[in-house]
Amino acid sequence: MIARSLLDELQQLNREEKIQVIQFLNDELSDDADKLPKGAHVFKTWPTIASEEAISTLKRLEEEFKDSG
Amino acid sequence: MADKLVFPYVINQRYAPDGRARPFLPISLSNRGRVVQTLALVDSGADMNVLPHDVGSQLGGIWDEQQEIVGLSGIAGEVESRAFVVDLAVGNWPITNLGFAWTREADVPVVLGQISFFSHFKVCFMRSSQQFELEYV
Repeated sequence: MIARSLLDELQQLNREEKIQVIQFLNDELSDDADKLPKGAHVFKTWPTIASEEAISTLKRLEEEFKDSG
Repeated sequence: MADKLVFPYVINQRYAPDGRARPFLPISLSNRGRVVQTLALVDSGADMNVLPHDVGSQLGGIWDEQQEIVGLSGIAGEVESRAFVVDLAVGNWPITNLGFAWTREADVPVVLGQISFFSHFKVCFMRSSQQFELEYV
């Protein structure tokens, strides 16, 4: 569990420092990917998380498709 | 027409080489006379249906002509995708128009997620008996 104090500290960082933290975490996660158990499969699109905009785009097109059919 | 269909969890070596059985549903996708039969992962944790690149191409999708979906993410961050609406057939139930996020990735299964597979079907997972039940809404 992430300590509240750590989150508070991160919040105090300026924009540039926050980007550095993101890059650091990205590197850490990339390293972790190499340590996954043999046979594990990681898909870039998994888990699939969509923004409200993405969801409304798909819903709208489904409706248009239904109306045109 | 059956009200409910029950499917077994299956081992899909192509997408899940760990040999673990998962809720893969046999489906038929079609678009303008092109048909693809495949196993699709029923994933209640996925916000959206996902179509791998090869399946979208087989269904006649033209990447540059499909509308871009902004804001789709996966484990590696933002994923480039296009909206693609095709016909879904399960068993002998009525054909359903289903929108997919068509990705550039080929190495993924068809994923049936909350938008909008779960809007059209009620799904009950029964892990203990390695089965899942589907009901057409």
